[in-house]
Amino acid sequence: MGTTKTRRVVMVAAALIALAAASPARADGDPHPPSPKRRVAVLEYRAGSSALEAIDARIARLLGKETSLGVVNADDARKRYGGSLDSDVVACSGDAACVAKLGARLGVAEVLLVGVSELGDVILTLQRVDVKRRGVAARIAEALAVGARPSDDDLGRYLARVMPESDFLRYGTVYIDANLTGAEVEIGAEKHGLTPVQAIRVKAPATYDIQVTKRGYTPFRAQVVVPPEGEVRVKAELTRRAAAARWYQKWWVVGLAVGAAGLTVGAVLYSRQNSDSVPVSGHVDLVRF
Amino acid sequence: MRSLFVPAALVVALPLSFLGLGACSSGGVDLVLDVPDDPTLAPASAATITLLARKSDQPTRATSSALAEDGTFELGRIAVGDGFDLAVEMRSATQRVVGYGRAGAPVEVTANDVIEVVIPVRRPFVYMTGGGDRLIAFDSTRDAADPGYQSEIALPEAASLAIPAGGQEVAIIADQQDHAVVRRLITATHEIADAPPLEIGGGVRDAAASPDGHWLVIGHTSGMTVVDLTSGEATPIAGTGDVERVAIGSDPSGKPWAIGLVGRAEPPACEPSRLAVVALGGAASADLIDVGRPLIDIGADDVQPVVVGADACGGALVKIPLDEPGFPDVAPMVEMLAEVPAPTAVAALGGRAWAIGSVAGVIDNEITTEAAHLVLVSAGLAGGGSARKDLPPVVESMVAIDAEGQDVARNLKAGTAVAYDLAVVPPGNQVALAYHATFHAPTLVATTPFGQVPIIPRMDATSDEYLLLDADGAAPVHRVRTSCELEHESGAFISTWECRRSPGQDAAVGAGFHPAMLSVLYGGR
Repeated sequence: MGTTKTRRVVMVAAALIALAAASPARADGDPHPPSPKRRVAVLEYRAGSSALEAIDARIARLLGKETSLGVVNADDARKRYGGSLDSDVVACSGDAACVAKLGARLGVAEVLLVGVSELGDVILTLQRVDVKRRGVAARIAEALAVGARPSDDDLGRYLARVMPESDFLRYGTVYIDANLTGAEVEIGAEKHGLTPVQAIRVKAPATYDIQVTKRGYTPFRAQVVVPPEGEVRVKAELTRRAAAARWYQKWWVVGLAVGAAGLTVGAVLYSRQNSDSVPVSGHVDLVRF
Repeated sequence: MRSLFVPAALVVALPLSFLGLGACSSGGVDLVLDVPDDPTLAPASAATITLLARKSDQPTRATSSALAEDGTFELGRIAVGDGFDLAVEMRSATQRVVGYGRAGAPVEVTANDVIEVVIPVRRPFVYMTGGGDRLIAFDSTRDAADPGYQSEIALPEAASLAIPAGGQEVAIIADQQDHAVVRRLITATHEIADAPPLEIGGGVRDAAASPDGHWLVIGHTSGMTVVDLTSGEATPIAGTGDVERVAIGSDPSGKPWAIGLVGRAEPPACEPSRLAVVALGGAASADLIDVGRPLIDIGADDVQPVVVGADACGGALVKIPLDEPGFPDVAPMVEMLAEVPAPTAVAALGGRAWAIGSVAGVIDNEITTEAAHLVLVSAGLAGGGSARKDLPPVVESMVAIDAEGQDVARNLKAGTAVAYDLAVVPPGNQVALAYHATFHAPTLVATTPFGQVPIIPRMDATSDEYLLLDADGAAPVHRVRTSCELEHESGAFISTWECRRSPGQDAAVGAGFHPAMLSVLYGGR
């Protein structure tokens, strides 16, 4: 028992000494930021503390939600590494080179080591270990009151301090399929050339107004929601402007037609709700043997 | 005409739209099973029809029905929705699969429309190249006792690869050094289509087709070629290096990806391999992914978004998921499915993976005391454990042909047995494979009053065999020795020897040959 307590105090002290000698929390403006799609394992290291239950899982979930990183949480890591992962993390005692070896075995580019220890307050540390360099890329420490439970917003702020800013920039792709060539494409007030245009990479998640225009044709306008890592395909059909509206293009005729079409759609939807399956039958022309 | 049509349409549409309110649902699915006219190719003795309906992320729903005398059948009801993959099995009264078919594209089932779905249903033939200007076809629906289970299909030139694309065609690829030609074999007639062949780059290594028959991907010594089989357009993909194996998988959205194996690792070379990944229908370029493991073969499943691989150095059947965030920019994690001794080939179908490996023979002072044998391992891609079957030891019989009527035979135990191709017969109840074995036995010397006299000469032999196995018990359905070559020293007392087939081992139809590859219609590889 005495040995355990001594060991715990030594581990906590070691963690804090390591933090005291830590590099800055994050090197912003890095000319060569790491790939925003690299694989990162989130592992937990507890120095005799049971506070902040499942904090690593919450951090892994947030990291996966807010970035494009390939996040490996502790459960996935155990499946891939084997049952000795937790004891091997403990044996590393926060040593970056040792943790990097575990990361290499997991096939990840970085390990985000979530440390929980107690020295009066609860000490939460986040340490980014670069597997290839076998060193610490960034680390932060937060002292929390015993019994405190940081919110997701709090954890998001911690992550923003320890992870590169570029990790939080996410993109989606917009494809414009127009029926005409030479039409001007505008996405969110930014011009993207004339059709046909290549895939357009835009920040995501975001909502964009899209406009495709060509002289002599009715402009095509649409609003699209682009999810992160998502693809949105917009089919832009431009029709030639008519010289003058014919009787069937008058607003009241069009309105009546739209109303009728709506009723038709409603009828179809109504019948669909009452029939969720249909019969299957068939035939085959086989020569019997 | 146009100006009159629009107002007239509106006048007609308005009352019809209101009438639509009172309409009742009358939808249905009408399956038209297209079978060959040739009775040797059409499914025979079909007694039941089973419809397999699968929607992504949902379990496959199977409905069976008896086939009426007039060829009609009723298969219950199917849920309204889109994106259904439909497959059909025809079984005999003994439940043997006699025909299989798959719809070429996902089907949308609506409440108010009767949709007609044409499904080409075929016997799942095993096609094998290597026989020169002929393609060997093994009918997996026939027993070995039926001599018609092997047949030859004449080809315009010697082909290296035969890849079924969908159910109606087989792409026949003939490599001619500086270029290669792709022809189409019609599965309903087993004849080459009249259309002119497609010319692509040479140095062909391997090929794969998408299950819907839309895409064909060919691996070359210097890259890949993607062929859109619907338009006949071939697009070369450069910058990948030597692509020795290829597969076509799909991500969770159903988007197809061509996967090429670069740096195929055959022990003792065990450098990690890379995958060249190409989005089919997208840009004509490949992403190269480090998989971190040496792979000797790859395959792709038609159900799960997964590539399977064989790691001969690590003795493992592995899976590489295509559904991880960031793919293909982020290298997917390779997960082990099962241990396989010295695997050389993999295949996947219907959410299950197979690998064929081998255990080398035990050789003591030039004498093979234990023969080599093959090991077939399978594992579910979504879990559920693995199964291992050790096949019988590989033995070839040599017989003396100058022993004046005496039946003198020598059984040679294989020192090595290496499978070089593996394919799965739909729906996954049988696997087909081809393997090569080597044999050696020293001179048998007798001590006589005149000294040491060589009685039986030293022998070195090689053989190739095709096997169709029951996937569960690994019991042989077909066993065909396609070649056996023996070299022996001269001067022994019994001096002239030749290979003899063992009981249960059939000779290849026509002349013997060294198989190049095999594939299965609607199967996995």
